[in-house]
Amino acid sequence: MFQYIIKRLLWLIPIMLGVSILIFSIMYFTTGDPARIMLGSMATEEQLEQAREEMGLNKSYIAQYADFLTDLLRLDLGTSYVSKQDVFHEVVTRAPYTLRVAVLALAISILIGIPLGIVAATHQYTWRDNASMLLSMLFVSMPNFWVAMLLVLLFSLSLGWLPAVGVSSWKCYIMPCIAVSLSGAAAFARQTRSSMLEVIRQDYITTARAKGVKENLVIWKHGMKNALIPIITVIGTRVGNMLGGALIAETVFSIPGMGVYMLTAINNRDYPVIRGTAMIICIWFSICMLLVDIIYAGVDPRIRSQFAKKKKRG
Amino acid sequence: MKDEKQLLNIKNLVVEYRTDGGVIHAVNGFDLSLKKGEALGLVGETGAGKTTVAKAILRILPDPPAKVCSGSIEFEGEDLLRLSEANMHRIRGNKISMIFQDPMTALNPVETIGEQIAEPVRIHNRVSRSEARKRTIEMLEMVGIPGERYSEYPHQFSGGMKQRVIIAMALACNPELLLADEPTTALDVTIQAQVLEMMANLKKDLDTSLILITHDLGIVAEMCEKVAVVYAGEIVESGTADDIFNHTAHPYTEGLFDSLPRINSTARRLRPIKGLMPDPSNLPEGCKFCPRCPYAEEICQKKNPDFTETTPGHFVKCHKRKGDA
Repeated sequence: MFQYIIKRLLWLIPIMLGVSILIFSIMYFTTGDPARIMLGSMATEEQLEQAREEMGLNKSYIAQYADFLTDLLRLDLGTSYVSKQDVFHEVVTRAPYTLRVAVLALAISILIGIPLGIVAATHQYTWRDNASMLLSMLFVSMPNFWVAMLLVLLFSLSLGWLPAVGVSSWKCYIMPCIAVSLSGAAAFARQTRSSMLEVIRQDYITTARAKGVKENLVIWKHGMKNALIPIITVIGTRVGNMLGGALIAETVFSIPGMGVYMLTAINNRDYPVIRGTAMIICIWFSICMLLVDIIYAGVDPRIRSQFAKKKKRG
Repeated sequence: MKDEKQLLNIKNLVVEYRTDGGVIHAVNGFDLSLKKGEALGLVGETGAGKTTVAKAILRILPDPPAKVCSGSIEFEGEDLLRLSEANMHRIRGNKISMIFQDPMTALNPVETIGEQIAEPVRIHNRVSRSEARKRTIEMLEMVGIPGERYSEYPHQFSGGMKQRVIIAMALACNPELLLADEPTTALDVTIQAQVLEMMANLKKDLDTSLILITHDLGIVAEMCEKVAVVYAGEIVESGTADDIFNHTAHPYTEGLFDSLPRINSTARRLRPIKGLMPDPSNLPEGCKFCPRCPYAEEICQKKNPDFTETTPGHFVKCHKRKGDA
């Protein structure tokens, strides 16, 4: 198991290399001149040329990529063209806001989605099942930003309970997290329902009942643990979505996270910032996927035994 | 005599499955009684309703679609069908336990077999974790699995060993009644013999009553004192093993024996029972076996025969034999 984790971490290196080439190439080939955007339309051709020279934009594709890569190896993400701030430092101060929203939203969607799915599965074809599935249909159909704006309308403008913008207190996180979590909750509810339905028809559930296990325990202990594997897969893939959702929510709620930072950078063709933030998001996503695989092994002994092939047998 | 006390008494049990396609009459007026320490073989074709009866006793039929419509199941003088769910929890796995047909799917794949055996012990006996563990290891060793394998998972066991784990699980609380639903069907023949021998020994040692559900007459002859032959949700003949095997009375039982291959017979072909079991959602009006019966007469089509005693303890449900007796 330990070896497996090390192996997976080493795999991060080629993945990051691939991602760096992709990001660099996309930025290189998109139109837009960072020098022009930085200096404005009043700048003379000489000024522009000088700025390009300073930023290294006149070098060849290969040379520019080589510069980027060597900086990256020194954990130097460069400085912003616009603010002249160190990108790494900026990312480190902004990332916690984004992660907070993404992780909280993920937790909320798990807490809503899984119970909803279980209720639907254990009361199949009753009004509870229909109600949960209707609710999740509703959740998945509403775009994040739209929910966010509705929440602001209701809780900030009409009722005045929650602040509409900023990060001054914990209250500020309630609406962004809920807005981001709903579509995830819907996905989890649907997945939980279908895998739970499959599991509760299995023979070992009947065995558990025949042993005198109480119905609640049958569902939560014997059923849930078996139903969990497909659910974990869906949770893993939603981690990326949550991050994307968090970026959108930041824009709506003016949270000084990575989303706003990245969006401004893209508009300004601020290459170092775009590359830096994209690399960080990529690492976060890869680590989440690794975590998903580790959790799999924790839940299912059949997967665990694949990692421990050399284990001695008495 | 104390030994004569009835342990289980099923009267007129009717179970239906209600589906969109209509009502399926799985069990139609089932009567059965069993004394303490006795072994009863429940024999019949696939789909005759044997498993449904066993699940009805434990009240673990999937509801919906299954519905127990009428009848009573008395166990130690209490009607199980009228017990509260909480009291039923106390009986399941404790006083009555069940061995399931398919050992490959009857164990929870993500729990260790030790935990799975210890679970009923902990539920029913209020013992500490370590005591439950001790009891589990005892049970494992009794069924011939080394105690060290307590913390292994089902996928690390072969089919025969899994079935033994299930037997250990069923016997962990010393049940009064064991319902064995085709315990050897999924196993190959050498393992079958082992498992049967083990069950026979355990039954003798623990004085457990047994209902053995099977379609294998050989196993019944080996294990059971009493036999009940089930056809289309009804018992068509019941009696001691001797009654059924040597004084066969019902044409269906006769057909079952005729369709067995015999090694010393000169016949070149088997004689299977003609036709199929009636569709349980559309049962014939008179005797259920009538359409396939070689002796069928007019009355058989019209009237369902009564269950009559031909010799003491030997019951048959057939018009023709009633006249003979």
